[in-house]
Amino acid sequence: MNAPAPMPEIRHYTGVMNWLTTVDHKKIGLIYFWFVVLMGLVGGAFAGAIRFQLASPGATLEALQAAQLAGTAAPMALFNADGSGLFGNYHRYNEMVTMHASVMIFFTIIPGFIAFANYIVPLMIGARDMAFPKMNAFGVWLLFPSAILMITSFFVKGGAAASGWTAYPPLSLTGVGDPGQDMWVMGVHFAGVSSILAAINFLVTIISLRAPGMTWSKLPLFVWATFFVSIIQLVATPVLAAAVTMVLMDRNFGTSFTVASSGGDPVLYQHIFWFYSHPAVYIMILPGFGAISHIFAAFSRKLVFGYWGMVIATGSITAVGFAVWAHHMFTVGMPIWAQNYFMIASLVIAVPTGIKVFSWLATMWGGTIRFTTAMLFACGFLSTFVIGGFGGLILALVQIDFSFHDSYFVVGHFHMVLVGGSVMLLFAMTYYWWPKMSGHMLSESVGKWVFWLMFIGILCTFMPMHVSGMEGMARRIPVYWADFRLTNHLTTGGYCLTFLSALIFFIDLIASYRRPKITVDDPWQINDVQQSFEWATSCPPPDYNFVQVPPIPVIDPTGGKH
Amino acid sequence: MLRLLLALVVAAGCLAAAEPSGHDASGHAASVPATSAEVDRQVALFNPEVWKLDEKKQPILKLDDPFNTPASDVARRIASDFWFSLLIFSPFLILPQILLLVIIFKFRDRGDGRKAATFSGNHLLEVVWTAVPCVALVIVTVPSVQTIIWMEFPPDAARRDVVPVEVIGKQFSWKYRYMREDHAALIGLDVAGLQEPLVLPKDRIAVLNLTSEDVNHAWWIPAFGVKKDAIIGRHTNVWFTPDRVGTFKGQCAELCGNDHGRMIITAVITDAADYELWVEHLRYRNAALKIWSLVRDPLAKPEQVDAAVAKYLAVDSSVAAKNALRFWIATNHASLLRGKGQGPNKDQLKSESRRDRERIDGLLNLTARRTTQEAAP
Ligand SMILES: [Cu+2]
Ligand SMILES: [Cu+2]
Repeated sequence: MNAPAPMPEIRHYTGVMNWLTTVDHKKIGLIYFWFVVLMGLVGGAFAGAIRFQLASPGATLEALQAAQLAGTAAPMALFNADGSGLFGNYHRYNEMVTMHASVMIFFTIIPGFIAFANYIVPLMIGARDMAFPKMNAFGVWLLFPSAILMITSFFVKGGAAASGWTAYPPLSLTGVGDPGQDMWVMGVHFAGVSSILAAINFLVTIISLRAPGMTWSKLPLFVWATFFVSIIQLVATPVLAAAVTMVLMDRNFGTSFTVASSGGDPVLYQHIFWFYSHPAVYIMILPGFGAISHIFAAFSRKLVFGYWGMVIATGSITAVGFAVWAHHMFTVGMPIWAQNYFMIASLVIAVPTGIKVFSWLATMWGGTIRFTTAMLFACGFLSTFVIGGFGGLILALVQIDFSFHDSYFVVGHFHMVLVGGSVMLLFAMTYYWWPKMSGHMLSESVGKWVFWLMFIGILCTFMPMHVSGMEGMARRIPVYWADFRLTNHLTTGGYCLTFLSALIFFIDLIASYRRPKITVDDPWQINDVQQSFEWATSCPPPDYNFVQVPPIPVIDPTGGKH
Repeated sequence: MLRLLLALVVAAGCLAAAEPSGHDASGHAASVPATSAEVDRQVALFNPEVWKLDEKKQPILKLDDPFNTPASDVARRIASDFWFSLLIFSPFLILPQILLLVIIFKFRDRGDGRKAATFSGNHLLEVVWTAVPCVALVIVTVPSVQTIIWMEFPPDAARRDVVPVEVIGKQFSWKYRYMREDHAALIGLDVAGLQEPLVLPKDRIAVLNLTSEDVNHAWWIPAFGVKKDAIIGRHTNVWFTPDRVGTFKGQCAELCGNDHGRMIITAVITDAADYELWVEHLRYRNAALKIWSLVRDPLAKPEQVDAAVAKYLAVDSSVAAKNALRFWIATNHASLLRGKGQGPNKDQLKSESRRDRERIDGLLNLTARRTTQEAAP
């Protein structure tokens, strides 16, 4: 027997250095969380710039054209064709459109769920940390250069990327020499690497670090969802990297993957891009689906209805989600079989999604429901998500998509799913888990204001968008026909409500640190039903979570009757 | 499949070419010199105002949408499919909302000591809410697949004649090539800001063949239910049968750069006679525009204009040629008036317009008489 290796000296930092050097999954989860909160506000502000351009009453195509023809000054707007607007010209507007989407997708919604998964998943499975703590830290810190690359690109020559978050060539190949688009590509690469590392970490953690007794059939649904989403991230994200690398190479190194004049094909890029970006919509919502099951059950004092149905539904959404990407590009012209196949496959996804919706309703049925803010957000999510999903059903039909594609109906649909769905989920999860994560309560009375403002705001913002689109308003336009004035004003009004509620939430979030520490493990008093590990340890949990194997018995999430 | 359709389009084009040309239909316009009222009508028809707001700041030309005011067979079929699938799917929108409301009011914890139910599964329920949506999907999918197949192939294209048009997108305007008879391309040029409309006859199948010269664009007129990408290096096809006379608005639907939002599309649907007239006019367009630029050139001497008109007639002195020249001069004046004719310029431009048009009329009549005299003996 060899003598045991000498213990390496462990340096303990305090203050800022503690946060910078931490490899604790809980601290990293909080770093993710605050990054997401700040980026959400930045992305929301970008949306504000877009909305205020579209709110400017003179900015109708008719008025602009009349002014141009008459040689008089164009109406006042944030962005004007001639650059006389407050924020410059339509190029700036396209930059805003691009960056709003990029920030919201890559820095808000995707890392938002990773923040919670980082904090909660190890607790839920009774692990002391993630499988690769240092890799975990690397992943979160990668997001910072990524965000800095994208956001500072506003200030370089030629401005930020302005070809939409989809970066379709040939448009994304224009302006070669201006670094904005290249910085965007590198930003996506960093975010992608971060995402892949997180996925590997979650997979290994969930597979190998479960506490004794935490069998696959007892795994909490949030852990199941994180597991499936990690598979998507691991498989799909490299494909996105391939797509944006083609743009980078075509721009800078003379290749012609997407250059038609030298044998490339711009449509190739679209296929590869959407092969990632359709599954990405599940990255942006499935973890929330898992979490919301816990919230519905907790505040209804019941067990989740149809545990295995939920698991199988999540798994099948994951699987089928890889095979429907071309429904984003029906109008490029596809063979009939492809149109029909992608339509039917897309429709099929409605079935597992429906199973989830009905199972959530059945979870609540017969319960004794407490409407905490978290529960309000969960119910609000259910309502708005069903609307968003319904729009998706309609859009999957090829012939109808020919009318709706790239119109505001699509914009309304995916915002209904991403804001009415994902963002509502993130808020529900925050109100549910913030006491555990910070050790402080968020204000329930302020929370109710936040919820109602946001719920009404979301309906008021995105329902009129559907109407604009049905009537023929194209997306990504800085001016529009006079026919769309009313619906656009409604949307801008709704935006103001939504952003206001986000600001109130932000202030309350900061204020929560000044409230007294929570002294109980289970502030919601739910663990008699939930029996979930994260509520069986202090708020926040100590370093390394559990000294021993978690002390409570794992219950059978099916209630033993299934 | 794409190639098949392409072949079909070419075949259809040839078929249209084989048919006797429709000059007879427009005989009234082509064989008699048009009155100036008739020229004005044509100018208003082929150079429509889509930009104006009325006194209440409402658009004078409303945007027709495919679901409420469809203007083609494709849009009508899409609309009926849309309402049908909305109907079939609507329970899945409404039922969860109703159940949610019921739950909120019925199962709220009122602190009366009611115990929560303990069930956590029900196989029958789960089978039902898996199977019922599947049935709904099948009900909607079947007609959808039929429509998709129908949309790919123009119906009985062999019997009805087809109007093939090549549509070329370019930042930030559209070019149209009307493919006719000898496939000699007649090019519609673009005038900055005021784009020329695509003119199509009512009740004939329009087959558009789209491509792009630079980035991706998408040609979209909502009222026709038609949206198709224009992609460099590719040709995409789409067909529809406009069935309502009028002017229709649309715009580019694929982000294509700074002025994407102003890359508008105008389509004018006319009866058969007016369509023939338009194609006839297009034939003389380039020659007529040369004369127009001389007319407006302050440095050009009057004799230069006379000579240009004489040269124009030497190539083709038919009534159609003369009418076309008068049409283009009047059209360009109308555009000029629309653009710069606000405020003090207005009266001056109006009188210039009247002067130029009369002058051209005079030149045409004069030269016309001389040509007939020479031809008489
Ligand atoms: Cu998708
Ligand atoms: Cu465009």
